[in-house]
Amino acid sequence: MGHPYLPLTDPERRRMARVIGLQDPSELFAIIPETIRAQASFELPAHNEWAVKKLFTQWAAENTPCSQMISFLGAGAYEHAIPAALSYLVSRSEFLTAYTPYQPEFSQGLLQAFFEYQSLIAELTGMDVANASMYDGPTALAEAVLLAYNASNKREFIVISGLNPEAQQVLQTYTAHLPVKMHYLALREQEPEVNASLAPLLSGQTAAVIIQYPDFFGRLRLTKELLNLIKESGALSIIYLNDPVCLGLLEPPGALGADLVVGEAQSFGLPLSFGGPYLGFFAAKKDFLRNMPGRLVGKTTDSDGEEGFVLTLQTREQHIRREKATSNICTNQALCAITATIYLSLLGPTGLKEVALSTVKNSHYLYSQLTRIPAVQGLSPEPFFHEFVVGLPTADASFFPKMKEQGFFPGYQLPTGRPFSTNACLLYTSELRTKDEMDRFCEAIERCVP
Amino acid sequence: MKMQAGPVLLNQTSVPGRRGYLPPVSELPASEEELIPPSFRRTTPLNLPELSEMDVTRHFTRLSQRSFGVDQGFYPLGSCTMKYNPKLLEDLASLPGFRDLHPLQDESSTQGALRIIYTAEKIFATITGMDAFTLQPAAGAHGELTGLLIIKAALRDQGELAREIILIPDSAHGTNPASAALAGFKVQKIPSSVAGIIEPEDLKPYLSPQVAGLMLTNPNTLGLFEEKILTVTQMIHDIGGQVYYDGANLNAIMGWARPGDMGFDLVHLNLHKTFATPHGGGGPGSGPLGVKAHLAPYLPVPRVVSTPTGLKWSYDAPRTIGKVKGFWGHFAVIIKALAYIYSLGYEGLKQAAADAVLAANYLQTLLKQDYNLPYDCHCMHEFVLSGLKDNPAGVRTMDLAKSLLDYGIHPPTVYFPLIVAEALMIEPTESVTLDLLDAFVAIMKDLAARAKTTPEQLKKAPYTTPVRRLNEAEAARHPVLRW
Repeated sequence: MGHPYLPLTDPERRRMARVIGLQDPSELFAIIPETIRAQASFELPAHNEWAVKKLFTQWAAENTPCSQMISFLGAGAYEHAIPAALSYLVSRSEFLTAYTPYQPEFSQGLLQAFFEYQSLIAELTGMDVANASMYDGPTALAEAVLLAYNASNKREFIVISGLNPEAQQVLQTYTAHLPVKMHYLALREQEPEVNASLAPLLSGQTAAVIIQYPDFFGRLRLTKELLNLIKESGALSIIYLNDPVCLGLLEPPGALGADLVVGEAQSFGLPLSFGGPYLGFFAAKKDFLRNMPGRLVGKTTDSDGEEGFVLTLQTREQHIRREKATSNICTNQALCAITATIYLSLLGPTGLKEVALSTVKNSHYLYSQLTRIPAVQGLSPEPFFHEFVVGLPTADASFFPKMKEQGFFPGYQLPTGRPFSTNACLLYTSELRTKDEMDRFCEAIERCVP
Repeated sequence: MKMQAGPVLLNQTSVPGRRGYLPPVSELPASEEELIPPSFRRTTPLNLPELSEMDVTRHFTRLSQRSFGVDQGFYPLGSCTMKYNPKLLEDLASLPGFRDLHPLQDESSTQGALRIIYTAEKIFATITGMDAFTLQPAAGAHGELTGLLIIKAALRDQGELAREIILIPDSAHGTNPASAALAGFKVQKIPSSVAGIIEPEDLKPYLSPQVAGLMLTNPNTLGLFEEKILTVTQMIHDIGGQVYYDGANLNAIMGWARPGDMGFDLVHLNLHKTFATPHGGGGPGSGPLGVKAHLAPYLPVPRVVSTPTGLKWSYDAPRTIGKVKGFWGHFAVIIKALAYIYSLGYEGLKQAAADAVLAANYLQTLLKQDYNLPYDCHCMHEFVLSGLKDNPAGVRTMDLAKSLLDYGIHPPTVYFPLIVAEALMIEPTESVTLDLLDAFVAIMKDLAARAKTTPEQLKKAPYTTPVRRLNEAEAARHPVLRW
């Protein structure tokens, strides 16, 4: 058959078969038992490019994307403006169609981009080192916990409430078969001081304490005192970030004394894409360098003394160490890491700070406007960042459909009782939201309330 | 005068005050000081580079020019399946109806996306002969981990946790033993026979009540089809074990044979190998996992289910292992894989496998005259050479690989599988022309001749790349991992 993805022609196929000493190329499959081959066929016609495009365009049209709406959805995936230069550069086929840089002399550009990514993540988080990426935030957290488990030989972990539920679920899956004990420290909504509740739980058996910053509900609770308390107990601190854009304004966890800082960096220029691919990041104090999962790019010199980059410390990795490797990760999120590198290069310190500040300004404005509406309960005491919780009139089943009709995604409805009791919704305000949009949103909610 | 030749890092051209992008900013009057309490505010300087849009564009364009992808030339990197990535796939994944979809939108606004997930699961099941699929795993190794955690959960349900051994051939990818260890299993290595495959007789001594399962790649990493596969899977089933199929090489047999019909209980796919989604310099991949019906209750949640009112997410799975990844998987990669499958159809997928196998055998036939071929029989989609035949000066595989760079060819995978000395693992894929294959053979013959006449030249290659051979030992001894 002739197909654009299959360059060989029938006469070429026959010629090649003759060179191999065959009558027909299909003889190469004779080694597969006939009973197996007999069952392999199925019905699916080939489609030309136009037909495939039509089919997928129809499927795309059955969705209502955030770009057609005024969306307040966050909760682990964040809408941001994506620079045109980024989309253009990251689609260059030298990046897009390359494999892992196993031949460094042919891959200096990729390796340098990963080195720059590692540098930017380490800089932003205030840590000594960062790896070249993980699958996503939740799996990065799970691997950080495994690092703490393996490095400390201790079996107890404390998860402070307010951890992204997706990350918590993945962590549970990754550790279900291990002899670890997970303590979940539930904090009352209004409780200002984490330290007092945490202290009695810490023991010599605590391997690590896991804290999200800002937490899943947008609250700011990470302090130097808290990290000191953890350190004094001999446990490691693992800080999880849902959205590192906040580091444009917030003191980096490394400066507060964190041991491991991991999280989700989708915010750095990756589209929402219905949940993936995103970008997990993994940063650590240098003491943990040789326990880290994933790829690391290092600087070195070539035989002429010129500077260059290589994959390094590979004896941690599965292709060398096999069952004794620090992780099984092989393919990671290389192109997403390049995306983040380009995003941060374009934004620079001023741009990143502007984005972060805009999201915070918007969230505080919207919170103050919403909580003026009698039917809305404010559930986020200060200080919060760019996400907050309010009670919306969601008991009325027509609330979400009515809001959608008017062009709004009003936020993420939190499961009842975790930890909020009633109709709680988590709202995120990106830098894209304008005052006018937020005012109209508030008016629409007022209209929804009978 | 020449502009600086060596690598110029982003931070080295930074100039205070330069802007590369003006984001939309909130006009609301509040200030940072009012909104963020002082104890949380950043006091550590934020040292990000300050560059103009043009600076950034030139920087990354230059980095791209110092990289090499499938679009730049021949890339016969064994086991990695560097086939052509059709341009249509990128267009489709960036349709706003997919690209701007938030994962937590309600189902009424994501029916098209759920349809894609639902359809992809069904098509992957059909192609592999499995009963149910999850699209959550982010890459092949992640699919392996998911599958092994499922085996573990099933063993726990059956009160059989004493089964703690996973059998893995010595030719396997390193991810297999690493994933097994991560899921809490012990690894028992199985030696390959002199013919390069698993012989039932050789497997027997390892069969015991402690065996939880066997992981196998078929065709294996030597490029050989495990022809005794039906006996092997039966032997494992007879002792109560599960058989896991590492789908890294499914591209060799898609449309011709299905792992499900060979007796496999679990299968992962590498969408970035088999179904032509780009590797992106090392990811994102996508590693969907398929299982037979008896393991389906353990698949990660949520599942897409069809209801009278449309497609919905369902968390109703009491025996699920939970979630292995945030949200639902690499949705954008899944769109691309599905579009590739629709483009080729059944006959096209089968022809793609046939062309990949034909191209590998063509190269093997012509290269074995000058290179050692330890397993001299027809191969599937790849084959493994073991250095030069006539090699008085001791030219090594590494020297051959580095020399290929000077011909503008990405070298094959080298020194893997571990059971072949001086291994050169060659996988041309179906994305080749006969002229290209002939040119590659001529180059490999040229190298074989030069290994005898001017071996010292090869030992110092490459010469034409942006840097020469790099000192990897030094990089590991004194790690410099950031600016």
